[in-house]
Amino acid sequence: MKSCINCLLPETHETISFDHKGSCNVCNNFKFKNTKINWKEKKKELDQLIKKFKGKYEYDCIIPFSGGKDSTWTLYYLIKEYNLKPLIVRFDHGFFRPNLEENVKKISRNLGVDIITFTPNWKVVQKLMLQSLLEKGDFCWHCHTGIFSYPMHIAIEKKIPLLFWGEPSAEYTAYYTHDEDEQVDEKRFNRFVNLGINAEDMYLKLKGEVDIRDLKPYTFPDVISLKNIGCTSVCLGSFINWNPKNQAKIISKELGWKGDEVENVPSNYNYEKIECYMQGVRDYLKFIKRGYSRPSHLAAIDLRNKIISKEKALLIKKNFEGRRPPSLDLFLDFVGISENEFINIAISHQVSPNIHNPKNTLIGKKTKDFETWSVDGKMDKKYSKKIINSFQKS
Amino acid sequence: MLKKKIGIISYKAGNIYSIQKSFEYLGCEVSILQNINKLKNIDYLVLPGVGSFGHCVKQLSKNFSLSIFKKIILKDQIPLLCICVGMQMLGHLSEESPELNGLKIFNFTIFKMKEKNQLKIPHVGWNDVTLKKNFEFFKKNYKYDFYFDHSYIVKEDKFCIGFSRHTEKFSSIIQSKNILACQFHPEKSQENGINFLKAFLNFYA
Amino acid sequence: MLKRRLIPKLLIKNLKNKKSLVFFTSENFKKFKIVGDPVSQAKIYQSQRADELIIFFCDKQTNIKNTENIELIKKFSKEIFMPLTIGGGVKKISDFEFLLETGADKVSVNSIIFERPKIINEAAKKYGSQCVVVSIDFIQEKKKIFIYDSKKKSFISIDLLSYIKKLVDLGAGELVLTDINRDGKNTGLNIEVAKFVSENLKIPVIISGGCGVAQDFINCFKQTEVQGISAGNFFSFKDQNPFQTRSQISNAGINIRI
Repeated sequence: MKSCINCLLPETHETISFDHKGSCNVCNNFKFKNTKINWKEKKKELDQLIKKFKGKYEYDCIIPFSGGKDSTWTLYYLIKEYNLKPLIVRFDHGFFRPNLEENVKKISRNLGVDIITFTPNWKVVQKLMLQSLLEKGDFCWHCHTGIFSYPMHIAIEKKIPLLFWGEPSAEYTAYYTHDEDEQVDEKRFNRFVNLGINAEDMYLKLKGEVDIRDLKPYTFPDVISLKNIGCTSVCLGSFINWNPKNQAKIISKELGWKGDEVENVPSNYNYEKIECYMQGVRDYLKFIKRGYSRPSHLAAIDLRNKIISKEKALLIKKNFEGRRPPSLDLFLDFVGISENEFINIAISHQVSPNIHNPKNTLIGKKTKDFETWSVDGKMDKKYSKKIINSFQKS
Repeated sequence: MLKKKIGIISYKAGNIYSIQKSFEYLGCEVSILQNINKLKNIDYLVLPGVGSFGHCVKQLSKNFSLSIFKKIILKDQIPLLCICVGMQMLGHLSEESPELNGLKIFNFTIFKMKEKNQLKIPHVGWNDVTLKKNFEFFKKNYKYDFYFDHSYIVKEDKFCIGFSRHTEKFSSIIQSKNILACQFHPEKSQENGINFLKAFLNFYA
Repeated sequence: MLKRRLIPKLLIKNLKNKKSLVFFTSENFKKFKIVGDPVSQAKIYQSQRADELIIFFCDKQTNIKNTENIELIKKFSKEIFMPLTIGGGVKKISDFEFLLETGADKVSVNSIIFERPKIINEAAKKYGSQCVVVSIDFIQEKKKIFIYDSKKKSFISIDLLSYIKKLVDLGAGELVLTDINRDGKNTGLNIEVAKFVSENLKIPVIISGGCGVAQDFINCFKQTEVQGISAGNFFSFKDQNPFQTRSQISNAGINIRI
C-alpha cells in the first residue's frame, strides 16, 4: 500500500492523491495554507462578516456545537474576540459521554450562552444506523446529516442567518482545497457529508419503515428558504489558521475544558473525538475498510507540523490501530447484528488495495467511563433481520 | 439590478434546454428565439449547434435568413456566443457537407479529425483547453478541462485564444470583436463551463 | 490529452405500489436496489463533479414520451451541468428528438437495433453520430459472446466485433457494453471483452458491469483502450464516490479528471 512520504497517510484515505515527489495533496494543501494564505486579510474579512450581522438578529449567529475541541474553540474564539451573542445548537447523536457533558456545563456556565439540544427519535436512529451501515459501510449517516441539517432548520425558524462551523474539510481531505471558497452549504452536504444519500433517498430505501416527518432533522433545507433569510454558513477555519492541538491547550487553560481517554488512541491525544462513545466502532470500521484509522490521522497531523518522527508515527499505528473496541458490543446490540455480520458488512466495503485479515485481531482497552455508557435501546433481532433481508433481496 | 437578456437561437439542432438553464442559473433572463424577427431587445445572443454541419446550416436557414443574420451580427455587434457546431458554422465550409456554406464570418474551413493510433473519433469526453492569452478569470498558459463531443475541427485560426489536442491540435476557443466561440460544451462542463459562460457575460458587459 | 471517464449509471423504474419514478441499480439485470429520488441524486452527482451520467428507463413502456418521463428528465437535468445519456425504450426518431430537447445530450438505443437497425443511421444523419449511443448487453460463456435479441426473445451467439462494426458503419458514435453476469456482482469488469472491442473499434467504448473496488477501474483502464467505465452499484452501494475513485485512479498514473 502506497503512502505519503510526509504524513504517511495511505492511498486508501479518501481523496488522497500523490504528486511526483510522493507528497500527498493534504500535505500540499497544508503547506499552501501556511505559506500562501494571507491570514491578516482573512481576519479582516471575518471582521467585516461579523460586522454585517452582529446585533441585528435575535442571536448574532448559530454555533453548531458538540462540546468537542473544535466547536468549543469556535465558541470561545467568537465570544472572546467579538463578544458575539451566539445560539448554541447541539444535535444529540445518542452517544454523548459523561466528561463531554461536564465540559458543556462548565463552558456554557463560564461563557454564558443559550443552548438548544435536539435528541432525535432513537427508534429512527437505529433503523438509520443499520441501513447506512449496509448501504455505505458507515453507520453514522444520521449523525453526519443531522449535525449539518438541524442547525440550518433552526436558522430558518429563528431567522438567524449566520452560522459558524469549525474546521474546513480542506484540513483533512481534498473535497475542497484551501484556496476554494468552502461554504457549509447544500453542495458540500451533497459532495461528501451525506454519503451520497439524502433524506428523501433514505425514505425510499426504508420502504415505509419511517414517517417522512421523522427524517426532517436529517434533511438539508431547500436553497430558497436559506436564501430568504440571507443565510451565510461558513467555517471559522476559513478565516483563522486552524491548529487543533494549540486550540485544545487554550480552551483547557482558559475554560477548564477536559480531554478524555478515547478507545484505541494513545493517551497523549486525549483532546481528540471525545464526544462520542461509538468513536471506537467507527475507527474499527475504518480500519477494516481502509487499513488505517484515527491514530494514523493524528500522527499525520503531527508529522505535518513536524512534532513527531516517522518512527514514532509508525509505532503509534502499530500499537493502537485495528483493535476491536469494547464499544462494539453495544453497537451490535443497538442494530441487532452479530459480530460476524458486522465484519462481513465492513469487508464488503473494503477500499483497494486494502484487504482485511480478521485473524489475530487484538482487543482494545475499555475506557474508564465504559460502564456509564447507556446500553438501553437494543434492537429486536427479528427486526434487524427484516431490514437486512429487505436490503439483500430488494 | 436588471437581469441580462440572453437570446438562444432555436433551430431544431440540439439541446438548448441545458444552455437555457445554465444562463438562468447565472441569473439571466433567457428567451428562445425561433425566427429572425425576435432578435431585438437582446443583450447577448447564443448560437448552439449539435449534429452535422450540413443539418445545422439547413435548419438555421429555415427560419433565419443567413445573410440577414450575418448582417445583424456584424453590424449591430450584439455579443454572440457560438457553441460546438455553432462555432463551426462561423466558417466557410465543412468537409462534412462540402456543398453547403457556413456564415463565412471567419475564414476557416472545418476538417474531420485525422485518425491516429488508438485514439477514438468522435472526440468525446473531457479534455484540456490551454489558453493562449488571458480571458477574464482564465489565465494564459493554464489548462482547464471542458467537455467535447465532435468529430470535426477548426484547425488553427489567428483568432484562436484557446487550443486543445486530440489526434491533432485544434482551436477550442475563438474570439474576435463581438464573437466568442467554443468547440466544447460549456453547459456540460461543470464549474469550468459555468465560469466560461460567466466570462462571456463579463467580457461583453 | 483526452481523459478517461467515470460514468455513474442509474436505472429508472416505477416504485411498486406508488406512481413515482425512482432510481435503482441492478444485479444481473434481475434484482433491483433502490438508490433514491432522481432530483436528489442529480444534485449529489453534480456536487461530486461526476464526468457524465447515464440513465436508463427499465420498465416496459409503450411510449417513452409521456408526461411522467418529461417531468422526471426536466427536473433531473435542471440540476446537472454535465453530459447526460438517456436510453431505455427508444423506438423511433421522434424519441431522439424528445429526449434531446428535454435534457439528454446523447440517446442510447438497445433493443430497437434488432428490429430496425436503420434508426441508427437516421438519427446520426439528423443529429450527428455524437448523439447516438449503442448499448449492448452481453453474456460471455468461455469464448462465446451472446446478446439478447429482443425480436427473437432469446440469447443469440454473435461475432461481437463484426456486429458492432456494422452499427458503427450505420453511424453509432459511442458504445456502452454491459456484462450481464457481472452486473452488480463486484467481480471486476470483463477486461477480455473490453480490451478486444476497444482495441479494434474507432469509436469510444464504455464498459460496465462488475466494479467492486477502485482497482477494477485501474486494471481496466491500464489494460484496455476503453474511454469510460460506467458503474451503478459501485457508486451507490459502496463506501465510495467519484471524488475518491478519481484520486485512486489518478494515483495509478491514469489520465483522469480530478
